[in-house]
Amino acid sequence: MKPLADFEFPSDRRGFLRRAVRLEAITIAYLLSVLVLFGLVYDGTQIIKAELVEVGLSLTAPIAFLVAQPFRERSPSVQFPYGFHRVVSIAFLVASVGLVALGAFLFLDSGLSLIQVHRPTIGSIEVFGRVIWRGWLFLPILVWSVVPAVFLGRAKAEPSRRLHDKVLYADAEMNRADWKTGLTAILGILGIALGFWWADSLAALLISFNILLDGGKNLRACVFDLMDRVPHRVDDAAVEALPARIATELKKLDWVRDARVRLREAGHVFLGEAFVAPVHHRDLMPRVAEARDRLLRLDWRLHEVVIQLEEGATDEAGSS
Amino acid sequence: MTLPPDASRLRVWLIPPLAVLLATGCGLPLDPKGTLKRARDGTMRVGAVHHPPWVDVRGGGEPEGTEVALVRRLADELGARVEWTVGGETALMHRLERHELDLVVGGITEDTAWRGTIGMSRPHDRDGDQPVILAIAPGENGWLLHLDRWIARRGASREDGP
Repeated sequence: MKPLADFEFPSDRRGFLRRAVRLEAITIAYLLSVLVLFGLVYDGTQIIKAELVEVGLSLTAPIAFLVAQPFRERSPSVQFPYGFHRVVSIAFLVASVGLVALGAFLFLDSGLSLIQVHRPTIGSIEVFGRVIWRGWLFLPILVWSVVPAVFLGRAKAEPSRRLHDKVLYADAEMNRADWKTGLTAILGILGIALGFWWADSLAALLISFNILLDGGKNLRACVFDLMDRVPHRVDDAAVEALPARIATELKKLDWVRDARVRLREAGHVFLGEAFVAPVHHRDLMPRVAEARDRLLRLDWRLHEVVIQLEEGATDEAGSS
Repeated sequence: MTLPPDASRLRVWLIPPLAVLLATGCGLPLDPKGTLKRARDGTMRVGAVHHPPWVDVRGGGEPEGTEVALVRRLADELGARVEWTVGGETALMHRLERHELDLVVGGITEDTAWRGTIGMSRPHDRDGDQPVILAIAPGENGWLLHLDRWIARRGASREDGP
């Protein structure tokens, strides 16, 4: 058994990793504060129920990220020769499945309460000796659930790209889009204040729909990851250029006639194989070793590449 | 074809009046069914569940009891006439749910099985260790806030009073 070599982040990425860990810890503490505030004022309105689930969804990514943190650079073992890079994908998958289920339940629940004409009763609360409507109290809490989230999301965008971390990226995107649910909830509360009972269920319906979309997107990303889809950029906007670059790099060598590459992502590292057709058979051992070292220097994310020699591939196609 | 330069300022303008509106309450929240508006100088439809000493309907005429007196005082201040409906708790709660009543009294405590389907005021008294509340029609948030404020004021004046 030959496990993978140990993985270490290059020194220019370590700062981003530290920053990401700090940001995620802050995110969790912040979201817990939002959760506690919503829990304190929860009184059976659909909107607050939806917001509670929404905060739960936002918690999954930072928790998955931090849970995976100790495993990130853990040495591969005989039992786990490919290391532990996938822990984060698995943690995220489990969390996403749970949240999609909860989002679906919430969606049906809100739809049902709309059909059944459920009228939200929001009582009062005494603040500094004044009896005020509890609904007004929701508004500052909703603002608190949105504004810091948007800033956190923006702060996490750069580390997620630098670390090639899809969980961190999904988290940053969710935080950045938080203002939409916050605004929906605020409009819902104002709607109730104006005497529109359906504003509650309708706002909750929209929020849960958004939870379903977000959860579905995360789920898709996890499943694709675990299926070894061709590597994509962290924002999923395009196919990762690295496999093509490796093939090009190999073809530049004078002893290589053709090269084809297959890579897969395991968390933030790439593993894969290069199939190389040599022009001649002289000094292949040192040449292959040198080519391999050269490839590993190409990109810090490329953790291992196995070079497989082939008889001169005659077909010209498929050389990527 | 560009927007007027102060188009974006329009939204900023909206914030202060909105904030003032929220801060003062300004009559919000409103009732979806307009209960408070109808009760003011109008009629209050109250269900009475026999449950002495809170509500006693044995007299044959209008109900009596501490909660009945409470409702009368509330009605006086609103200038409302009280229209009593005497009945069992289940029947009256169902009518409350359907907005055929505005209020149900009868020593109903905070842990009532009806919580969640009806609205509940803040406690105005205690029955042993259980707070006693007024049951109100679901979703009538303005009405509920009015009752809560009235109960709070009454509680405060009773503590200060003789």
